[in-house]
Amino acid sequence: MAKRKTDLLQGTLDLIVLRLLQSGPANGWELTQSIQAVSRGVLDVNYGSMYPALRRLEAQGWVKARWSVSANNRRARYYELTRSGHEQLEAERASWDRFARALGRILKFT
Amino acid sequence: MFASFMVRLRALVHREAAEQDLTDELRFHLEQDTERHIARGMAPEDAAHVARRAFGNVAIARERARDAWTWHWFERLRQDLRYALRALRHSPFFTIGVVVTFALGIGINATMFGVVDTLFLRSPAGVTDPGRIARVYVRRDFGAQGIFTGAGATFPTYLDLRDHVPAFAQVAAVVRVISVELGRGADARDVNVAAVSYQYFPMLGIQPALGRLFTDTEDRTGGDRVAVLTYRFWQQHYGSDSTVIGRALPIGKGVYTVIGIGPKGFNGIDIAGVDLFLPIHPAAEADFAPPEAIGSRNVSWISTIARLRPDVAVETAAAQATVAYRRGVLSEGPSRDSTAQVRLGPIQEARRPGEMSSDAKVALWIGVVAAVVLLIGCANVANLMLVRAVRRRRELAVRASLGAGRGGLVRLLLLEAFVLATAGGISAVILALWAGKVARSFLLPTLPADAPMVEGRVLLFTVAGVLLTTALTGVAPAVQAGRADLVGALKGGGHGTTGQGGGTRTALLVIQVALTLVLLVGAGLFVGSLRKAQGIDLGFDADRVLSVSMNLRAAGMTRSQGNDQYLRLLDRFQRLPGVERAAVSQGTPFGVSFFQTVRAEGRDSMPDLESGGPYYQVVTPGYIATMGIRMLRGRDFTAGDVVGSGQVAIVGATFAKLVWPGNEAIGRCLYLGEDSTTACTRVVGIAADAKRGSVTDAASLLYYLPFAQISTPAIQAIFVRARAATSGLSGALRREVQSVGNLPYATIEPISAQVAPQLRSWRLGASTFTAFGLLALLIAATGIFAVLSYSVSQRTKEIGVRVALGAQRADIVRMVVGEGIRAALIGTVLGGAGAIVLGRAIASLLYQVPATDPVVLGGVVVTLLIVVLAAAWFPAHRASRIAPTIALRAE
Repeated sequence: MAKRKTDLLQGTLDLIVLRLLQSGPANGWELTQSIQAVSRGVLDVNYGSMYPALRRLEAQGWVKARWSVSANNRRARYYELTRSGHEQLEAERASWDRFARALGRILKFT
Repeated sequence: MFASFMVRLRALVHREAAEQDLTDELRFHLEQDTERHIARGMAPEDAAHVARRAFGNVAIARERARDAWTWHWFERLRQDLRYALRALRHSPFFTIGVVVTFALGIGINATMFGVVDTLFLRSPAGVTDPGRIARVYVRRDFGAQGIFTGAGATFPTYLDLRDHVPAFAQVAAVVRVISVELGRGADARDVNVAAVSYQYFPMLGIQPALGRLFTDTEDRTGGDRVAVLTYRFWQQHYGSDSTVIGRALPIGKGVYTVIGIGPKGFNGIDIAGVDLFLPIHPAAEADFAPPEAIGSRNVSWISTIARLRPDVAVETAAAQATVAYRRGVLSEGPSRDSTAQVRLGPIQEARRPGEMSSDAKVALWIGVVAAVVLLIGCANVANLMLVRAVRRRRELAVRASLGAGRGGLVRLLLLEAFVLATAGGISAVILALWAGKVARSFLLPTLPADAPMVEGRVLLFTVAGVLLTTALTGVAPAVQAGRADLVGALKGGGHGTTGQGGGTRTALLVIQVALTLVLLVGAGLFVGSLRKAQGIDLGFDADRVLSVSMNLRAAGMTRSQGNDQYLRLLDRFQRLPGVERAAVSQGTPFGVSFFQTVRAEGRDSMPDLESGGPYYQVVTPGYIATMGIRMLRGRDFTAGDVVGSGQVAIVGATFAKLVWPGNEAIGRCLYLGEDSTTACTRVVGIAADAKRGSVTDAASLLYYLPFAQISTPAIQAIFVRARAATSGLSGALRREVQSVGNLPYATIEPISAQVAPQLRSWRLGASTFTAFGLLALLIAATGIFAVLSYSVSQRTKEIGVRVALGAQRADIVRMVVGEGIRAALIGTVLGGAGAIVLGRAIASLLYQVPATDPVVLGGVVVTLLIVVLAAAWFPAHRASRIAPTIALRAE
């Protein structure tokens, strides 16, 4: 099985989804909308990546899913962070911060 | 971690539900998008279209989402499994052939493992920490006569070991007595008894299921006569009735009160189960030992077992026991046992030190043979799989080019082997359920019939067998597939060259032929031994003669009372319509022999034979004819040969020939007994030699004396010659015995039943080696047939060219057959060497057959080559029919 080139992106997408779910349960569509809105359109999530990411996070036990009713009264699958999801978010956020700081230092270096 | 596992597990178990979730969720997303587009003023149809386009490829999103939640390898395995099953379904003959091969191969191994496990590996059920239990043996060196290691011990030796060996935590004495009479009269039955000292149960960690076990006050001279039943016996004969406790049972000569029931599953520590236990002192007093046995250092009648103290080495214990033993035997003066050594063996009686019993040896050998058959089967299957893999090169190459990868191909082929081996393993267990019963009745006839045929350990062994066969048969084709030149396979139109895998295939054929040859030679040697043994002239006719014997002494009768009973029964028997004739005897074939000093007219001493003697047998008139012994000259005893009529004797042929060589024996005198003044006992007849101790004994000096002229004989059996078959007669005889009343249980059996066990190890060896050898031959023949057929189909083009260039049919046949014969010849040479090694190894189990019998070896080689020729002929014949035009166009 060939390794996907989206590994790095996937990692970031996981972090983003975890962060968004920290504010409360959301369904997949709301998450894609939030990413567009919060990133002011800079990040446009490939829809085809969102659902695999959610399944992956679910399989890891970081989020759990249940069927619920959406704002416009439709049946939608809602995701929320589990306790290990919270821990994972903290860990990933910290490692991202470290990475970003290091990258910043390298870019400023002349 | 656990949550993640559960999600994946749920995805596996509820595949449908998980799929549905995903579908619903994606639909929701699309609907949301569509709705938003509509809200922004798009037409509904356009909105749905735009949303779908923006969403991208639903199938891929779905596929990737699914990947995230299932175990990847598991999913792939499912696919491969489905593919393997489909591929196997497409070649049913191959599949059935392989499964049958595996079923037989694994099945006989599982069966034999069951036997070997029972004999050598498994500890008796119910024993606590069996690893610390030791059986005590004594090794005696008799110089030229050899070294003998035996478990027999005297009672004082047991006390020496019990009291003077610090390494032993506990020591118990055991004496096993088979066929003891339980009950009286018509209800009497035979039971197996173990008389044990009181430490026996605590030492083994046995707790009663009901009641109590023996105390030390019962195990002493004059102690209470009590009995403990085994759980199985209690269940089978008393229907688990708890009121049996306290009941008085007549056992042998004594009457014993039941005090307890042993725990479920415990039947003593021997292969042959025990029905009830008695304390050794009271039992010995009653009738299980000579009266003086308890105190005597001359009567060996018990065996001893011991529990070693924790953290004491076996060697230390044996050394201490040797010291105690020697000091004991020397306490009553010099003894030849003063150099004897104590050996400690494990709790399994078959693993005794020194010479193994020949049944145990045969069982081990059959185990080895079973493993060899499995190896042959594996070699054959591996070959078939190789052939198959090469035939499927194109298909596999296509799969590889579609991205299956070499790893995938290897996995697929291994999986195919695994599927086949598993199917074989399942059939094998079914086979073992049935075959186990048969095998045990042959190999472990004394094992209680209700012992399970297939239990956990046999199942585990079967699983190991499946994995092993998978590895043995799957690896070679898989490796080859991993190496295969895929591009070549695609370009070459699916036809490889003969070279591919040819070396491996030939090697596997060679292995099969060699191993088959070894097995067939083994079969030949055993069959030869059996035929020699069966051909032994017993000197009597065992076919229609029944022996009827009773333990009258144990029933409390004196010798003359016992004789009267026998004679009365004889009289009744002789009047039965189914009886041709009958006679009684003191001394029986394969039973007890009697010896007394005898002097012969005209000789200073009797000839000295290795078998000892001369032996004598006391019989009533008609015994010679009843047994079917040929009267060579002179006459049988008559009713007129009584006290005062002049003493007479009949001598055996060897007796006549060796005592009075070259002279007439009839009319000569024998002088019986130490006293030189005894009257002449005149020889009136010469009878053919009859076997005495065992069927393989050399002829011995034997003579017969008439019952009426001997003062103190003790009749041991009545022999009855049936008019027709013996089958109906034994019932009639038993009714006669029971109608007399107050007689103990009578053992009635054809005397052929005493011959059969003596031939058992040869019969076993002959039948199993022959069956397995023929199976191996069949497997090897199909292997050669399949490989050559394949080779021919691969070389169609080449053969076509040869024919086009003028090759004759005979040339083609010779070429193909030659390929098979070459492998067979190499195999024959290797197998011949193996057979010589085998012959040496089993020499001690053979009878009058040289270990490397050129006739057997030659016969087997010829048979094998004929079979190989026949197997090779069919593909060769087909090859010779190949028409060059068709063959060349075939590509």
